[in-house]
Amino acid sequence: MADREQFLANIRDALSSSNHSVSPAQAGAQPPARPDSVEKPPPSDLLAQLERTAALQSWHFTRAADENEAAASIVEIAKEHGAGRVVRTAHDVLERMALDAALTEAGMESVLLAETLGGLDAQARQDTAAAAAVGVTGVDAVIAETASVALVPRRGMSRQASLLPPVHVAVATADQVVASLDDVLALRLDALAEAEEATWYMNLVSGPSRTADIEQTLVVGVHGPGVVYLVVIGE
Amino acid sequence: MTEVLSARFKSQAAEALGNVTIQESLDRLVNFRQGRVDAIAEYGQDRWDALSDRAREIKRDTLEHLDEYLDQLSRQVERAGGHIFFATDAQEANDYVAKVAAAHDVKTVIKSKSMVSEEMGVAAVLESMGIEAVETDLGEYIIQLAREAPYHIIAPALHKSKEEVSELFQRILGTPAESDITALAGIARQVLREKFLQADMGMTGANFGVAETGTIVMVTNEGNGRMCSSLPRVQVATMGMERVIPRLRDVATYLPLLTRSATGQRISSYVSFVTGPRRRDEEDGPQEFHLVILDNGRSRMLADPELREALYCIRCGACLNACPVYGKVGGHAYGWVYPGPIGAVVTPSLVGVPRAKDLPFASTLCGACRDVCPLKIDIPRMLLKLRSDAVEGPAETRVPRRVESLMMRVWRRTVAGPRLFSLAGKAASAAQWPLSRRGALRWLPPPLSGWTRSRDFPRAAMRPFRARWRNHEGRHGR
Ligand code: SF4
Repeated sequence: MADREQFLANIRDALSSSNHSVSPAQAGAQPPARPDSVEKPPPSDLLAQLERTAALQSWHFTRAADENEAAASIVEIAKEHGAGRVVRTAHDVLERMALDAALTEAGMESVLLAETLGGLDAQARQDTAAAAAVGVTGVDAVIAETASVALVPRRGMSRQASLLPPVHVAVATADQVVASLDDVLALRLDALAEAEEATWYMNLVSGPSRTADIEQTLVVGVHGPGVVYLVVIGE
Repeated sequence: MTEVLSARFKSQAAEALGNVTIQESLDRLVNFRQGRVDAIAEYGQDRWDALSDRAREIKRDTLEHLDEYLDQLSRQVERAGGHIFFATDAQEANDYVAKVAAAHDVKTVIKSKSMVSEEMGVAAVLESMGIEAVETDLGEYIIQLAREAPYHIIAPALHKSKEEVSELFQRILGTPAESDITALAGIARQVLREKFLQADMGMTGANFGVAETGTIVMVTNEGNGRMCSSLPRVQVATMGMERVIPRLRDVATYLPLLTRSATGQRISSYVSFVTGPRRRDEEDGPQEFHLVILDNGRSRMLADPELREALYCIRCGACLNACPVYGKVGGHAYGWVYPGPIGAVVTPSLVGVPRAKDLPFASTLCGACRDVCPLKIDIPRMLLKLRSDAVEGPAETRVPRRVESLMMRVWRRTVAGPRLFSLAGKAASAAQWPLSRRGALRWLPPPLSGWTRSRDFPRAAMRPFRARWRNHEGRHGR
């Protein structure tokens, strides 16, 4: 069994036995400098770009003027998919729009997938998410270039709401749209520097679950949601 | 470790050449090639080249300081509450995974696609312990049911027709015959959904391991990787030691190179960043996280200045798609986990040249692999080096005759007509044919002249795969 020291010593041996261009002067590992980052485009451009890329990535893209309009859209989506029950996360944006009330009024049930908030236990939560027709979540950021939403699970924000139901509705506000992946990673690094615990999980979701593993024919919804909606609130 | 059958290259290749289903499935590689070309055009060639240069530069630096970055990665994983295991070889890695599974009394393991776990052959090891180990990537699931090795790095079941998949499902799952591909995927979804919900342990690979933060990055499309890293109590990730990258923001350099080269996607459906187990205040996620970092011969490649560059590989599969030889002999001919041009370098390097000495000859040295590689890895140069290792003498005088004549057969078929020619790779930029600019290739045997002539062959019609892949609004109900 190789312990860390032994394993790394073996690598050092391999490196020193090679006559590759290792300069002995290189004391510490210094990665090459980043190229200058491109100038930030104005937010309206980012939204226009997102609208384009979202379609290319097979999101159903919707703009909403305000929270009320967004809630109405979500109710319509849930109806369209015959959802008796919708599962959701505790993102602020969903609280602000009073989604539960809107769904209940339309004759549907809205379940918050959260144990830490005094809701369901682990097994019940998983069963509920797996049986729901629609999962609704907020997001942490949206990348305009690739129409990717960043989801960082934490208290009240289960990983399952965007994964187990066949339909996922992601709700973002216009100010969450950033230009590129690099922006999201920089944001995460900032959050990490402030966080007490250094662990975090993040998913970038860029459209429906896809496969082309049989005869290179595209099929959506193979394991994750096959139908995805992106609702952006505001200008 | 997964058994090495590379010594049977000749018979395995001949088999593929005579199999119509396989030849038809290999024809479909045109979709990947066209997707890549379009995706790079969208990104912008200049930007692409800059990204590619930067990616090479980072890899060079990373490998020169590999011990330091691995040390940092492992300490950051531990800091995040994860466990680290350094495995010298596949056996050690398998033993560790088996130990973790036993300690948690695991009954069912769900696996997402990982070339390193294929290298280890860990599924077989778990099954020998009475643990159900289920591959959950659709392609991997199909070949697991068929008890075969992956045919392609990106598309493991590339060689299977829908009829074969239907028969397989009928035979093993007892489902009715099905000719619709969406319905076939639906069967797999149903069967595997149950496994996801009941599994105790998830095994994943790692496309990148970020030293700075102790994060592993998984690039997937189906969602099974998210299941494996979210639902079970324990997650075990395996990665080759060369997959470390220095900083989180380096992901922004490698990710576009990977997805655009592999399938022509601007990004995959899911990119998961996993840093240790679930946090205390999280709703779900594994309670325990293990990262197994594997050497298994890689330090030998690191030590060899002529082979080190092969460790730059990000496993995008573009060189397979571009290779006229892979395009005819297919993945199983290569006899181990890594097929195609990069496999012809990696396999002899990892398992030893004597066990795979035909592989370096399984190439026309046309240079298409190097031209499409997002890391610009000089595969032909390494194949030449391995050739001379294989024969211990000047390569041009000792080429094993039977492999050479097989290559000529491949050659003739490749240039025989426009349809077959399409295989030979518009992925490579035809205008910059390497023959004119690479001195090393001058001594090549005659078939190469056919290659140069083939430049003027008409381009085969290509199905608009990229459009299908990306623009399928409204088709999701199919
Ligand atoms: S060698 Fe290059 S083209 Fe081939 S799989 Fe690796 S990165 Fe991709």
